[in-house]
Amino acid sequence: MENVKQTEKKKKFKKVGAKGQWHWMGIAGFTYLCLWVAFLYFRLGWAFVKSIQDMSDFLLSGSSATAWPNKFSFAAYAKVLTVIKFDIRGYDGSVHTAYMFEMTLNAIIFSLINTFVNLIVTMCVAYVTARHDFWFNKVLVGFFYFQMLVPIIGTMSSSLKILKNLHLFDTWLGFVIQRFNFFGGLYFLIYRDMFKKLADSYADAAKIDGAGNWQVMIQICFPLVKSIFMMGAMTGLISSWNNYSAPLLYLPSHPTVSYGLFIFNNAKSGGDNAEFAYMPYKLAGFMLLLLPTTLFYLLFKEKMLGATSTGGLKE
Amino acid sequence: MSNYQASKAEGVATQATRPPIYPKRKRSGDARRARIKETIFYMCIVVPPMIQLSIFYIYVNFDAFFMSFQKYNAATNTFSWVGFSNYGTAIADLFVKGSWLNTSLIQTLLGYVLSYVWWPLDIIFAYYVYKKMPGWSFFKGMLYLPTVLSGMVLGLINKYLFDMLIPEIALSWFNVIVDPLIYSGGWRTWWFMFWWNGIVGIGGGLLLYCTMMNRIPETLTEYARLEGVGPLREFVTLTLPLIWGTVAINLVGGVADIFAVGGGTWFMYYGTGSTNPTSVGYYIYCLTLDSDGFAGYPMASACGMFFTFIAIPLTFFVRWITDKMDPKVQY
Repeated sequence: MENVKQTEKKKKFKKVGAKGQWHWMGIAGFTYLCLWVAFLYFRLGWAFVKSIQDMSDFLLSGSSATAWPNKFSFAAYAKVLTVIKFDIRGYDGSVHTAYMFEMTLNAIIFSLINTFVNLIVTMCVAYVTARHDFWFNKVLVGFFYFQMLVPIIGTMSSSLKILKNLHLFDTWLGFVIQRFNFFGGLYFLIYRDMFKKLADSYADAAKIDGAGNWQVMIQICFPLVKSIFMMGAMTGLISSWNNYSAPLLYLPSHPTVSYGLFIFNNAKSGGDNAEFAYMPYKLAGFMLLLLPTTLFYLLFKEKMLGATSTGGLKE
Repeated sequence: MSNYQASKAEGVATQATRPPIYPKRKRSGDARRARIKETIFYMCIVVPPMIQLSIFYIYVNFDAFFMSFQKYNAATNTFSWVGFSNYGTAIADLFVKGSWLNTSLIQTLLGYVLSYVWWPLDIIFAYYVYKKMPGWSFFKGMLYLPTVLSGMVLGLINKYLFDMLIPEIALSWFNVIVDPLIYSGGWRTWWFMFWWNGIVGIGGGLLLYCTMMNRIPETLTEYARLEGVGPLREFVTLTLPLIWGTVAINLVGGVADIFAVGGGTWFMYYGTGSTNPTSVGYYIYCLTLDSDGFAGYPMASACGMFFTFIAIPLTFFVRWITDKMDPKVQY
């Protein structure tokens, strides 16, 4: 028994002392990364500290960015959540005031459409091109590679023009249609590769039991790539939540939280949001925007960083 | 004999009631019906996205091309043909030293060429995580964190740091006057942001490269270690060639994006009001966003098409180079 323990100790020692563990590359990388992490936290920490500085204290300090707060208060957070608003002029000329509740709701709808419409279409097209033998597959895959390799710049104006002409500009339906494709990112190739690697025996067994093509796809094959789907969904939801430029361009009268805070950041001392022109308010708004994605990341970190395996047998 | 016949009859009866072990051979009609069903299924999946692509990719690209030869008349709400006038304006502007488009092109190309100083960092830190060097698990989570956090928020926090905190620290602690680094604009800001993004902007390709590195057979790395190969040599001679395919895709994709990216960063800091620092992507973005109705669209399309004609051969050239360097390893 003691021998086994000694061997395990030796193994542990070997693992730590093995080549590559404390090589100069490791030391240099470690130092760089430590500084990098320290600076990342310094930025976030500084922003948080200033966001909880009491407003009168901030003004008394001469609006200083370096002064340590004498008085802390979460009033800025409460105000940002309840008072923040701005007027939006729709494409049809109508004006309405958007509050935080509406922006949150819009952000949720936007994130769901932006993530799932594209992801599901991508998955379906990847599935049929990988598992059903049709000559048209070559056209689809060719299209994908073409758009990936051949950069066509400046088509945003034409996209906006067609959306406006079809009366789809600034509508949720228009945005759903825009996202109804399998382009963008490498997910199409990843899914296709995974569906190709899935053993035929699953689909064959299901077909013998009387399953149709839809059932094989939805009930048999999709669950086998669930981990990659989850990873795509999670990263997609996070990036959609943070996206401010797409709503700004295509859904100007449906502001999301990110878009709203971008506009809010431009608040000057003379406008409607005059009192929000001060740093603690703006930083409180930023911290609130970071909160959901940070919590989401902390909760699903393992899945996001490690979900790269498929179910089933590899042929 | 009678017993034999009885058992044979019983066997036939049992066979009739039991389901056959193997399915009956399908008739040709069944196969055809199955193929028709499969075709319908295939069409249901493929046709809707193809319609979308026909409108929002094929038509849009052609429309952008034709629009680049047109001019919008707001009074009549029509587009009229103006030949190469938009291209002429763009090219003329391009050669005026210090003009917005001229500065945009110079800063875009300079940024692209110099970005090769930083691109190995992503791969090196992915290797750090892959080789499980000290603190790899913690750093993996940390390096991925900026991807999760809003780029806009981090960017605007940086703006406060560079425009307020650093000048204040410089003045109060070192008695040195430092202009706000972003607010002041110009080439100084561009260079500052170039260094800043390079040093701090790591981690974007971490997951992708890590996944590719983890696919390298352990026997290969073990063999290398037994042969006395150190981490640096292993990285240069073994890891990098084995993940070269992925690196090459990123390099080619990077060329395709030269004239499209950069809009977001400058827009975040300056709205549509900056002529320096700038980028071609930002320039086209501003033309579209500041457009009064459709008025700015033809010029935006012309600029886009002009830079597309430059980017396409460049992309294929870089692809040719990366193909030449590709060790074509299968593992």
